[in-house]
Amino acid sequence: MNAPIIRRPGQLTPTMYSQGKKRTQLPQVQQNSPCFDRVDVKTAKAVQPFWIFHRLRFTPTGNVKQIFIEKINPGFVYLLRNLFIKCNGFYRFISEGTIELTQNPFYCEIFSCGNLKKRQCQPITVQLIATPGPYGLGNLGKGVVYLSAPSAVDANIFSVNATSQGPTCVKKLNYFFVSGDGIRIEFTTTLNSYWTVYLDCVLDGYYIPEKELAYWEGAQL
Amino acid sequence: MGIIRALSKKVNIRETFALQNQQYSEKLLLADSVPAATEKLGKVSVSTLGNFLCQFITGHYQSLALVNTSHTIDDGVSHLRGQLIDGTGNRKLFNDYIPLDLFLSPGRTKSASAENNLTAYSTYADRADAANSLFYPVEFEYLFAVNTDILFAVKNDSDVALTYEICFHGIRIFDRSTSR
Repeated sequence: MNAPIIRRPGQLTPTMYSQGKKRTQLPQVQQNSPCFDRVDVKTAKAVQPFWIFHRLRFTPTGNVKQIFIEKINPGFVYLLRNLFIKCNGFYRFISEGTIELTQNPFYCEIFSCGNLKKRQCQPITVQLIATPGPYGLGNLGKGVVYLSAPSAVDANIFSVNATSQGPTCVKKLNYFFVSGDGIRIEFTTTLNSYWTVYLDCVLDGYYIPEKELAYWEGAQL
Repeated sequence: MGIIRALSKKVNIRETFALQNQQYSEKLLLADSVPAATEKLGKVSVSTLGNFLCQFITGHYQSLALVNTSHTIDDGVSHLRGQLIDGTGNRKLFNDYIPLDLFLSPGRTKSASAENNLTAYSTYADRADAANSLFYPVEFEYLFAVNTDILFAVKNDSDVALTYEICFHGIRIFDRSTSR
């Protein structure tokens, strides 16, 4: 009883990736509810979620690029499922005594470190690939002033002010990064503010042991 | 949609019951209150019933803050960040403390506490808009072993105590030794 586990109709899960399943290989019966399929504990325990959080700091010097690199542990591949990105806005002075909350344009590009292979043709605005995406928040520097909610300055946490908005949707990325490689993500922006802007990025992904992958068994992915 | 498809097929009662005796849909709730400006380790036990295969997580939390040292207001700012840990071997499932608003849905909830009675405090702060009502369970597929604890280390950067609740949606799988 090695039935595939935990899937929604027509969707491959991290566990099934590790088994080298193809979408066309899904059984046509009882694929609606995971409770109708027997869970293969041996396979399920091989997959471990590992979320990677980075906070990037953009200082107001015009065109800004920030890069972060996350190394993949040897012996594992990393399946990047989703990105969750948030970046703070700022209050722009329109005229004396008038301000508005606005947003810098952030662009995101994902590479494999080893060969610098791009996973997309060109940098893409973060709102289009990730949720919750940019949100309304202001940053006037640590403890300067409290402005109108929902964007009061949080004076306690890194001088970053984050209005809560949970993820509302996810587009699966399903990028594989091989063992020993690295994930390189570049964010570029043109800062229109006088203040430092922060960008929070969470990589939602899974470590899968290499020995669990189908290519050890000669299967074709 | 899913239930319609499930019912469109003939259900083998015998097989379904046999399967249900070994695994069934389960939810674990982790709820805690974190005192002001501290870190606290919340936990929920998987119990001795069997392994727990987590599939999705959802959760909500408060976003209260102190204004002018004496008043509390719900200004919508996320003050909590946490790190999820598997109690078996203290395996960390996050590399760092992640702000809860980045991955919990529906996310911020308006506090019903008596303290949260301000609509505005002078020129310092206004109460935030209503919380987001959209709901999106985030995928989190991990097998927690029988009898382990799911640990969640949470840091609170607010000046007031904040509560949160996280629900782990998954499947309870009886240990083979107990299900036979």
